[in-house]
Amino acid sequence: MNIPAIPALDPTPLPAPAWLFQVLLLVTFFIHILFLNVTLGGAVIGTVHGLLAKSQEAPGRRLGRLLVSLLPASVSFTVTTGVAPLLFIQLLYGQVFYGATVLVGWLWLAIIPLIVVGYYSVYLYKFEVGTPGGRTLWLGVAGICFVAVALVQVLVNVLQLTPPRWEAVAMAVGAVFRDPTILPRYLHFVLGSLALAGMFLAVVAVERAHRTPDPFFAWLARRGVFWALAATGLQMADGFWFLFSLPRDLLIALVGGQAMPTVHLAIGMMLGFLVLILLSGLREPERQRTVLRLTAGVLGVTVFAMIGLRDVVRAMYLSPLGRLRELPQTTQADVTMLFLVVFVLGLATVAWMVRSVLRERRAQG
Amino acid sequence: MDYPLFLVPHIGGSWLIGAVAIFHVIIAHFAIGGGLLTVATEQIGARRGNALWLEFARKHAVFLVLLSSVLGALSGVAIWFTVGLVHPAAVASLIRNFVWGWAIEWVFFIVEMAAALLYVGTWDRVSRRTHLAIGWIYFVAAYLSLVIINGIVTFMLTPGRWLETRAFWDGFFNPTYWPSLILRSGIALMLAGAYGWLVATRLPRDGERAELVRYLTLWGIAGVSVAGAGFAWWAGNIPAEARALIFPAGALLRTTYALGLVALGVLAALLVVVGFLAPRAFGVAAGILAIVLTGTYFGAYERVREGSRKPYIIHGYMYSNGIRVDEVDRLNRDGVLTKARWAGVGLAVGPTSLGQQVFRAQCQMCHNLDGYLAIRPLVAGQDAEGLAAFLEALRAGRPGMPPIVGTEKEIEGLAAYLASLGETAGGVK
Repeated sequence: MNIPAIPALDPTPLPAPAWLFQVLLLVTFFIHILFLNVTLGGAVIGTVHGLLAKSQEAPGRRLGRLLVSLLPASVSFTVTTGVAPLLFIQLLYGQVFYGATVLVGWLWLAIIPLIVVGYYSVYLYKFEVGTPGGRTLWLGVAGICFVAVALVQVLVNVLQLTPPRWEAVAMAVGAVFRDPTILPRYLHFVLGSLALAGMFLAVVAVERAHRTPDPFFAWLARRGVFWALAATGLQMADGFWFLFSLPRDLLIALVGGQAMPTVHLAIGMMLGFLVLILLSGLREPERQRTVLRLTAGVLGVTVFAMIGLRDVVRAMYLSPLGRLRELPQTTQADVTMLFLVVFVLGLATVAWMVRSVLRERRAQG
Repeated sequence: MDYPLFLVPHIGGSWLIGAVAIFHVIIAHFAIGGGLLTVATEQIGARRGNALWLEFARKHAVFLVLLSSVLGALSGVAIWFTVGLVHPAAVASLIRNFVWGWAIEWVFFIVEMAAALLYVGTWDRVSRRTHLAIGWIYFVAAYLSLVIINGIVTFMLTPGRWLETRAFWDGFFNPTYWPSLILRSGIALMLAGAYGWLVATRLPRDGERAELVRYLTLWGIAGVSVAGAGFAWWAGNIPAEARALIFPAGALLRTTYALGLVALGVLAALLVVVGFLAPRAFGVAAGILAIVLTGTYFGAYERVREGSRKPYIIHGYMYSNGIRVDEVDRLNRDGVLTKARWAGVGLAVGPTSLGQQVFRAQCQMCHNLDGYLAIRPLVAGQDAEGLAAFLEALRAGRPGMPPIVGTEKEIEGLAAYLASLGETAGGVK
């Protein structure tokens, strides 16, 4: 790979072994993606059903109201959990991260107002601004904003991996779209969001139906499973498109050329097929609570496997930069320990708060 | 400078960062002070069974969370984005040193957001005890975020012993860490009191309100005292170069510094007069004035802090144009364009293109052609020879400005480019 001018590495050593940051990157990104998928996919699914609904009492409208009670928290946690992977990616791949973001600086900054508009749109629906019961329009605005943010992220991600394209983008920013992987990669992302959000809604519906039977929940469980099934089916086709759009040496490495990448891809694909099979067995999800939970679990594992695969592909793209584990390093042992302790205590605090609230709410009925 | 350049026309990158940062720090400090005010008021109101105080706390909380969980959180991310675009080398360096600090702050951020949403969402729906516990968790997490980020922000002006040891804690607990933490705590209280006044103007005008206003005034006065003390301590602990930019007659930041002190003094007077001596004067105007004065003081402090760090982005380590102090000799020998390899991309080749690259590499971070810190008026009517001699003298730097670096040929090229700019300024236009 011909690299014209990759910025020099910052001379400061890493404050802990690279593998620790890699693990944190993958884990925090996984958590981020879960919230993100519910946010993005939920806004899109809610908009579609809101537009299809013929009356305020139609289930599509009830779905909208359910979503705006969940979305403020999920948007908030998409943002907060997104901070950590963004931090670790800059630490490990700063050389290419800053270069790529600078080249599309204004697009990159546009992410912020897009999220703000999307976020407040959710509140406009929730607080029923304009129309009693809330307007689907606001959910649609949120959906469009989130889908646009995802596009910018994909553009920046691909640009990070392809420094040979930087000069063309510096000359004319439109060149950022010119890479064969962008469209299939973006679709892969959006379809994954729809699948996961559909699954999430189905699980919410079935868990609530279990406590309070309501035909709406049965409706929602089926629609959720439908979205998950349709999106995962399309994902299969798109996955092949994505695979074959990759640079030739990467493609070869993934389909037998190198053991590790090939095994990763095989595991991811097998899990994807398993999800598809399980989903197609969910004919009456409102009566199949156990299978639904199992399917949701397998889908979660699949997402994690795909994130691992994504990391393998990134490492192959950036192999000319050298290996992460060869970065200079001096461990700040005490601060590393402090982070781990704070991390555990922080999660415990959140868990305590949520548990206390749930327990008291349940006690009140 | 190793990176492609993000150039913001007219205002320059630093004012883009400034605009986002001012917006963010006001919300962020308000989230801390307002959080404390809300939960403390809820606690007092509940103990006394005072419905007005509880209602006040509740109103305050909804606004606070709507503001801080959306605009506060995202403008914080926006600062990070803009600084990363304008000063990628500095952010890369800071992250290498302080990634664990940021990671710890991130945990507090998660706890803060979870607590904020639960606090507002469960008002009157869980026991008072649990609700207050969540409120206190919210405040403590928000304050701990400040405790962490304050170490990194102050490090940039006063890295202290870190310059020799390169040790995390030496950089973190640096000479302005404690003064700044105190100052910022005071600002958080001031913002809470000032905003509280504004909310209180909407309550029915009676004896209960008067009591609440006096209580809020105490918050404001506490804030002014604490911030004032922190400010004085801070000013005593900054480096000599920074003091030279603030205190001498005619210094760049003297007026801003004085403005901050005046705003603080007027605010103190306003609080005492309206809060205690002439409570009838209390109204929307007083509330807005209190907020404006707090914002003026806070803005002045932030401007002085940022401005007095010049010519560095990390004091004594990296200049504001991304060149590290330890690189200067090499760049003088090998040329600044060996580092700024992106400065030439997209430039037409011409007689002044070498100079233009050098300008983009080390000057344009602060100097726009026209607009803020415009270069064109500075070089109008000067010839290349005179400029070259002037630039050679700038190799030693001047107050607030990094030394010019590069080979002789590069400096000559820069002079030729600047002279060509000056011609445009003095010519037809």
